Amino acid sequence: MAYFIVIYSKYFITLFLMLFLACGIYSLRYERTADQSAAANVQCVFLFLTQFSAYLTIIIRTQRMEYLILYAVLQILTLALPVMASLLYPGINRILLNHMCMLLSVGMIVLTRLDISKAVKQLIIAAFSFVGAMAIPWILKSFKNLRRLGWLYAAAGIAALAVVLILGQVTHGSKLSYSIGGITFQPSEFVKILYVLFLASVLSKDAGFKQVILAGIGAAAHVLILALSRDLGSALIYFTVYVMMAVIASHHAGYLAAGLAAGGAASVVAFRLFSHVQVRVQAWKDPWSVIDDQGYQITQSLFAMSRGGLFGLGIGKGTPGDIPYVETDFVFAAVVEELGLMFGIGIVMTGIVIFLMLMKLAGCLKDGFYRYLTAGFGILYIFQTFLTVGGGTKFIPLTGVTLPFISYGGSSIMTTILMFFVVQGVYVMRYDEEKRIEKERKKRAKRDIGAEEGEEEEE
Amino acid sequence: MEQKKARRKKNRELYLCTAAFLVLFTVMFGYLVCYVTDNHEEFFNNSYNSRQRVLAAQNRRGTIYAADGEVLAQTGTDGEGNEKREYPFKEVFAHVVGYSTKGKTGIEELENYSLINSDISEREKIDNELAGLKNPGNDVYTTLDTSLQQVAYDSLGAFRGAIVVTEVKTGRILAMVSKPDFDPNQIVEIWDRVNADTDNAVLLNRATQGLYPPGSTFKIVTALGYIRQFPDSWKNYTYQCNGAYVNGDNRISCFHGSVHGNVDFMTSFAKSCNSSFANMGMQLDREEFQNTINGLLFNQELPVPLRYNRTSVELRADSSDEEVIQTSIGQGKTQITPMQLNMITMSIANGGILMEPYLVDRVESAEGKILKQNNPKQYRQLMASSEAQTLTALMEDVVLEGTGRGLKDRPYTAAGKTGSAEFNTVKADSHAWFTGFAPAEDPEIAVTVIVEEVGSGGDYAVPLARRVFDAWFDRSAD
Repeated sequence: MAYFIVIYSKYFITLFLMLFLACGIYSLRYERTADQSAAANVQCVFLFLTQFSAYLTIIIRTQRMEYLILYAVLQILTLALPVMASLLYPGINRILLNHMCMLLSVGMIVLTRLDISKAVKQLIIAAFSFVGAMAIPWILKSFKNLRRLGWLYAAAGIAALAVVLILGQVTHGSKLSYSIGGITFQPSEFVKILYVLFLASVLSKDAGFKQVILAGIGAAAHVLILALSRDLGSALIYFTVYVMMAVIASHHAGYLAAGLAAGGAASVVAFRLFSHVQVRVQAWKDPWSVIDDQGYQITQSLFAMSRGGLFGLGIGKGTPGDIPYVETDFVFAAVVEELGLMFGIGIVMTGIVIFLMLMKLAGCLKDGFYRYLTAGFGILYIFQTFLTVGGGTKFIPLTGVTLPFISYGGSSIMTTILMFFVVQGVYVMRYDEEKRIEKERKKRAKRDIGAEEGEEEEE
Repeated sequence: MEQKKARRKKNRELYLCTAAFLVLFTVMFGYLVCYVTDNHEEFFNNSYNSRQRVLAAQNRRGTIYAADGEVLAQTGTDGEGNEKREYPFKEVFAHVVGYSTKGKTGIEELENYSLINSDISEREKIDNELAGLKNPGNDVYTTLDTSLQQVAYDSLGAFRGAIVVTEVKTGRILAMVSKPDFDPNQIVEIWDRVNADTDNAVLLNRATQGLYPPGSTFKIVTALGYIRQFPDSWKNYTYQCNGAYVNGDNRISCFHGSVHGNVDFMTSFAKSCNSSFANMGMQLDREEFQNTINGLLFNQELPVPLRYNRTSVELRADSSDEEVIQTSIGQGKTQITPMQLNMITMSIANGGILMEPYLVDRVESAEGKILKQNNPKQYRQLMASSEAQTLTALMEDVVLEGTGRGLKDRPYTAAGKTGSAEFNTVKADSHAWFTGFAPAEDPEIAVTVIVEEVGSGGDYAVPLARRVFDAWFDRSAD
């Protein structure tokens, strides 16, 4: 039996993910959250089966019981928490929650296998983030003024980024983080939320040419500070989010062309100016000629994926530890090595379904602020996923950003959870609105029927 | 309806962004699947990939077999449990089988992936893991023929050079010898010494990597060029050979100053008359001749399974007369590998169609499951079948009346071409060439021989080829 599990679990894990995904894609056809609950229930089963078979394999292979505790905590978190959340807020979108939990679980599985102490740390941060994030839908509902803060968000964000630029610690040539009381923060992660709030707030007021340019100046300030901190991956994400939000808000696709041109020009300048940009481009174009230094990471990532092939080597059977910074920048390669490319693509698709849900939600919303907020988060999320997966696979140059939910990193996981709970807040508000309309309609219908009956009596 | 339309318009840009990302991801997924699976073996063999080391610790490298089942390379264990790669035939298969420590060459390199991996059942693997045993790697069955290889090896003796033997109808490589040689069992011990000795280049597989002037064997190419450009008149070709061809300052002599007198096309080829071929070369349209040359795989990637060197021959419309004359008789800058010459010979013997040469017949798991089976494959038609027939007739004549008479009156009819390639201006002994096939009426094998710095092809290369042919046909007669 143990043989059977160790050999075939990788196929089952892929199968469970695919079935999970199928439920997610199927649920996209429903307009209303309430209609999705059957699909959401089935998804929970597949989520459980994925986690169970992965951890069972790990525990059989390693024969270590501390993994069992980790598994138990993860299981409670990802199965009990959504139930609690939907009791607290009936309007919460359970498919979105399931997808978040699935991605988190995969991240945990990989981290458990790579470095158990990091896995524990990650799980603790994720648990606290989830609990804290529960308040967000309530905050969103209670403080209607959030939409009016506009430039205040930008000011706070720029300040936080500037502090890192001036006081921050240098990691791998980039200034990314600072420490308070022994805990290291990476503000460019948290500022993402403020940044999207800022753009949504400013653009929902007015999306004329002048306003788009004004917002652009605010955005440029963020991007510039990030570029000066040498965090070019984040700079690129901030830039892209601005361009796409401007296009969506203004209804002018022309901004996309302008954005591409400006982005292209900026890339050329960055290439000329920064030696580390040149290094990365070189390592992308031909990593084989610099395999000893700049090309080492990316080629190791490619090796890891080729070792895995379509269905992977099986959990614990690969050597993903060969890749430097595997748990942050190259986690996708580690996933592919042991669980296979099919599973890896399934994971990215899980993220794409989140993106599609968000864009669909944005399309349904009439209120500009929430509409842009949701779309902004969706774009932010999917573009970051694209950068890290594309960068780790030599599809595009490496930018060194994390894979949301899966990469190791407290700031990253916390930001992503908070971000999606803001979206949950939007779902909740829409649900409450629907409920209210329905109630009114029923009331009206009752009144109408009453009136008709009255007429009959008169006759 | 109106409402829906309005909503669609409102969301146009939203949909546009969504679609852009979907396209981007679709392209990336396609790229990923192709890139990762296509390069699987190449990545595996990269020395920076730890997979080889991981597997080497789990699996015992597989065995390489000859076509007749003899072991060419296997991994044995000494009393203390240390693994050692053993090559029972020592020097005989040194270059073609190669070695796997100190880098990898030959079949050890070509099939490294198969040899390191083990495709026994997963169940067996787990049993081995629990028992602390290594998994047996996959075994490689080659096309090599031990007795033919031994004959080729012995006949080269102490000479430097190479012999290639292939089966013309399938492309199977039956024997491949290169000398000077080394004992692959001792590769670690002799490594520094043989690498320091650049004069002998012991590790070089001369059969596929040795670049030699083709000498008169190139007249096959010139003859084909001439037949193509003068399809009606080549049969009436005559030339008066006075022992030399003079064109301005350029002067070409026939080998050892022979005077061939009045020669036609057949005789020019059979006697290997340099003067006559220089004369033919000068009549050729240079660009068209270059097309013929390229058509015989010069200046191109070759379908050769081992590491090889590419050749280069370049004639342009403005090439000097001297270049043209030198090229026509296979001297000057022209170079060829024995393997490429063998491939040209194979195609002549097979009605113009070159079968892709291959060394590995199949790969089997230790449990006997066939993992890979190579079957004969056409590579390309190098010449029309009528052209192949004409060249065969010319090459038969070489054996009957010309420089290849050493192969006359055997139980089989051979066809071939000799060459005596001068490789420097000092009149030292030339490289001796022979390339040919037998039986001429229904060819089975092609044999290409080069012996370095000994003298004429007829004197030194033909006898070696004869021993190989004899060995092959003796066995067929049994």
